[in-house]
Order: sequence, then C-alpha cells, then structure tokens
Amino acid sequence: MSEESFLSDDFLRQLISVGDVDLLVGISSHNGQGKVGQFVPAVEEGLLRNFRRERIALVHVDAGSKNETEGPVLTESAMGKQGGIESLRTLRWITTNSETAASPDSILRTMLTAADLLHAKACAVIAPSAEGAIPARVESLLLPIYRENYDFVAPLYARQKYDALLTRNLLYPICRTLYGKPLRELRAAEFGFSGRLATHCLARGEWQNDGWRGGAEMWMAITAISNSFRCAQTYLGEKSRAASNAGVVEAIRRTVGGLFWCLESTESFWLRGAAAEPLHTVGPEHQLTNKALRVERKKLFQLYRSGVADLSQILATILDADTRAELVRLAALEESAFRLSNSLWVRMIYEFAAAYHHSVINRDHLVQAFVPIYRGRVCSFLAEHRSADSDEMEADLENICREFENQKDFFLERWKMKGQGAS
Amino acid sequence: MKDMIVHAFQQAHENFTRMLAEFLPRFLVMLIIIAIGALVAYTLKYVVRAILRIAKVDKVSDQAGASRLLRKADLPTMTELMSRAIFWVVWLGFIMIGVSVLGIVSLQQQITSLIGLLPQIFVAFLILFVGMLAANFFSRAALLAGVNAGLPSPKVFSETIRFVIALFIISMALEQIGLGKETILVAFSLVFGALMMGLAIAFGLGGRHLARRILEKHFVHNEKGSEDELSPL
Repeated sequence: MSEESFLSDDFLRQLISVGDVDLLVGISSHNGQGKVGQFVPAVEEGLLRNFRRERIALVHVDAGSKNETEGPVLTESAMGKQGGIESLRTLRWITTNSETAASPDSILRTMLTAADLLHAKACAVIAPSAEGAIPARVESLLLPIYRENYDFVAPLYARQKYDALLTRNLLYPICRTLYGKPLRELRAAEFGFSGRLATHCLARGEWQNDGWRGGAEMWMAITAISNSFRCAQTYLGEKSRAASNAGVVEAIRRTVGGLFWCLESTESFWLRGAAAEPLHTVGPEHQLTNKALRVERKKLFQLYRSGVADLSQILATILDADTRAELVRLAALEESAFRLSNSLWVRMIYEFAAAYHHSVINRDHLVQAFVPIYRGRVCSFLAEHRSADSDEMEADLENICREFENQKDFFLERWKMKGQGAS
Repeated sequence: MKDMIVHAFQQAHENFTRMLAEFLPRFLVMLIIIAIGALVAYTLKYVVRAILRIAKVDKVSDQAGASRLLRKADLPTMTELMSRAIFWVVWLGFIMIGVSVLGIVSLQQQITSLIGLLPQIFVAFLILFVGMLAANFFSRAALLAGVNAGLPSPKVFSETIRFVIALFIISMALEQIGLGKETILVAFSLVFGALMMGLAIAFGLGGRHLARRILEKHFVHNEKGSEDELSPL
C-alpha cells in the first residue's frame, strides 16, 4: 500500500516482525521523557488487565524530540508483565522517531498505517499527558470496539465549567445539528477506532492536502460519522488541563479551520439532511467541576472591541451588514452590559462557514478573523454563567443546539449560494 | 511662361495621382488588415473569456484578494480584464502590421520603438499587480496577527507593511520601464531610510514602555496570560 512509503525502514521492519495483532495502542511524545516513562507501565497494565489473551502492539511515535524519549519508554516497559499480570500471548513495543518535529496529523497517520499493516481489530490513541486512571482509560476506549464492534469511540470528560468553550459553543452543536450525532468531543487527543475505520481513512486522499491543518482527529471522527461507521462515546474521567493549554489563536486556526474544511469535504452527507440519532454512551455524558480559574473578562472584552474595530474591513467581506452592525453596537457597550447572544453567535458561525466555503478571502485569514469574536463570546459566556450550576449549563447547551437547529435553513441557503460573499 | 505653369500643374497632378494610386491600395490593405485584426481579436476575446470562466479565474482572484484591488481601482473583474487585454494586444498587433504596409519610414520607426517598449510596460504592470496583491496579503496577515496578539495599533503596523511593499514594488516597476533609474534608487533609499529611522526613533523614544512589554512578552515566559487559563478545547 502507498502509505508505507512515508514510514522509515526501521519502523517497517519492526512492524513486519510483529505480524498480525488484535489490539494496538498508540502513544506519541515530544520532549516528554519523564512523562512518557511514567505513562508506559500504566498503559501496559490496562492492556494486561483486560486483554491477556490478545496479541497486542504498542506503537510509540516520537515527534522529533531533542532528548532521548525512546530509550526510557522501552526500559520502563516490563514487556508484557505489569502488576503481577502476564500476557498469555504477545505484547510488543514498536517505536519510531522523526528527525524533524512531526505534525499531529502525520503522527496519527503513522498509527493508522501501523494498525492497517498489523490488521489490528481495535486500536486506541492515548494522550501522553493523560492523568488519572490510565489503565481504565485504555480499557474504556478499546472494549466497545473489540467486544461490541463499534468503529469509533470518542472520549467524554469531566471539565471545569468554563473549559472547552469552543467545543461547547461550536463543535458539539454543529456536529449534532448537521451530522445528527451528539458527539461531545469532536476533537479529542484520545479515542478508539477499529481497524476497518483505519483502513477506510488511509484509503482517502485527504492526507495529501493541508486543509485540516492539525485537525486530523476531528476529520477522522467526522469521517466515521458521515460514512455510517458505528460510533460511541465513553467517559474517561477528568481531562488533564495541561493537555489542552494550546494558544487560543492556534487552537482556533486548527479547530475552526479544520471544521469548516470538514464541512466542505462532507457536504454531500449533511446537505441531504442527516437524521438525528442518539449515540451509545458509556458513563455520564457530562460532568462539570467548579475549580477556580483566573480569567480577566475585561481583557477579553477589550480584545473583542479592538478586534471588531480593526478588522472591520475584513469582517465586511465575511459577514452580513446586519450582523456586522450588531457586533459594532455590542462593542460600544460597557463590559458589564456586554452580551453576545446565542442567536447572533450562531448566525455569525454560519456566515463564517459559508464565507469559508465560498473563499471570499484567504481561508486562513478568514479563520483568524474569527478569534476576536470568539473572545467576545467567551467574555459574554463567563458573565452569563458566573453562578450557573451543572444543570443550568446543560440547559444552556440545549438552547445553543436549538439555535443552531433553528438557523440551519439560513445556513443551507447561504452555503448553496454561488459566488456569495457578504452583502 | 503660361505653358510652364500648366506643365508644373500637370506634373503636380500626375505626381499626386501617382502617389494616390500607390497609397490608396496600401491604405485599403491597412484597413482590411485592421478589420481582420478586430475580428480575430474579438473572437479571441470571447474564447479567452469563456476559458477563464470555465477555469473559475474570478474565484481564484477573489481568494487572492485581487478582486478587491480591482474593485478599488474601479476596474472590471479579472476575467473581463484579461479578455479585454487579449483583445487589445491582438488588435494593436494587427494595427501595427497594417500601418507598416503604408511604408512611412518615420511612422514605422516610432511604432518599432513603441513595440520595443510594450513588453517592458507589460512586465511593469505585472510587477505592480502581483506586488499589490502581495502587499495586500502581507498587510492583512500582519493586521490579523497584531489584532490577535493584542498589540496596540495593529493597523499602523499593517499599513506600514503595505506602504513599504508598495514603495518597493513601484520602484521595481519604474526601473523595469527604465524611468530615471538613479533618481528612483536615490528616492527609494531616502524614503525607506527615513521611514526606518523615524520608526526607530518613535519606537525607541515614544514607545520604550511598549517595546519593553513586547520584548518581555516574547522572551520572558514566567507569566501566563489570563486567557491561557481557559482551554478552548
């Protein structure tokens, strides 16, 4: 198969020597020697606790670390013996390291290729920054695929109530509205997948372009949903905050840009109207914590206000005159009175997505122009939900989803318009 | 005396008639060539326009920001502009061939020198156009980066980048058509030098606190921004 060509000879040799496996777990690392070292025994324990009779491969992809990550991973591993449990069949470690810093997309592609070549039935990707009960995580992601024939298992996390605002305000509602699947974590660093799905994803030509730019996991989730693969979600516990502290601008470029790109590449699926279906869920669907966070709302509002003023020309090519006027009106308010409503937020997202589809300006610039508006939304969200409890937050999420649903016709009309820019 | 005058008139008449007899067929040929040229140019214009529409050149032009520049300059769309350019280039070629049939030496020389300059003018316009697109792209990228990084006055930053690129491009275009090379070089050096010095003084004196903040932000990583506490994903 063609994917072999981007793998190193050494990695291919290791894969060939392993032969076929039942399960595969992928771990990536980058300059994280200590962390990965502690992490490895826990992954093995999770595997041996539940899958002693299965042939297992653990694939470690080092994304061009400058320190020696590969060595500790191998030495920390007891090679098939953890916590007094021993594998009855094979448990093999395969490692590869890239000389240059590999992108998350190429890491995932390497894992998918390994899964495909080893004919793995069930696979899981575990974030190296994962904390808490790692053995249980491995089990939660692999079991639904191996025992219940699911093809994609997304994680569910307990979150601080102000975390994952992009997921809560954009990814989840749009996935539910357009694809008909209430997948809570559309872009996750940990997930499970079947060998079937890995082979399907590898066979697609999307790897050759940079449209998703770092959002390959999201593309994989959307590919699973839009190609009738069996999907589920499973609760993994609290999400490590260190894992998600990427800069907001880069996170938006990757996530929003990747999402809009995925919308375009799967339009034939959602344009015909995907029926809403419940998703098999293991464990609680949502859990919020109330850990204190230091957030300067004033600064966020200031960034929104200056962004709307400075980017007025760019926003004029993306948004309708009415939407723009409303943004400008809100920017003139005092921070305490500022609220960016669900309806305006949803309308703006739909207008941005349609403008991306019609390429009214350079697509990366378009996505970057979204950052000040997201900051405005965060500022408004924090003010609105200062004293909200878990149930109120959930009710609000329902309202956001309903708003996405209400404005869907507007979006479809806008998306289908030819040569449409802002009016 | 009378005979001489009559003879002179006859001579002049004969000369005129001969010249007219020589000139008129050539003139007619020239008109025919120009008319054929117009026909060929029109046909090519429509063919090129159709090809460009099929190739969705206007969409590419929108993406690159060229359409916006054209609208600002009150020019038609990229497809229309390119098809019109083809029409004029082809027709001008035919006109020049037609004029050369007349055999007027001085006119031919002027036309030859004009033809010699045409490629340079074309290249100069191309440099200007591509340069303006680049200026537009980079100034927009700088504006977005500045706004998203929360820098003060990102518009000034972005417009400075646009101005510097435009200045550079204009000097390149003028140099291409050979207009006052040295004057342009000196003028460019003066303006660019003055601009940089002005910025250095303004930044160094007026904005030393700002400079300190920016340098601290980029090189001292001991404090996380408030926004970093919130994870978007």
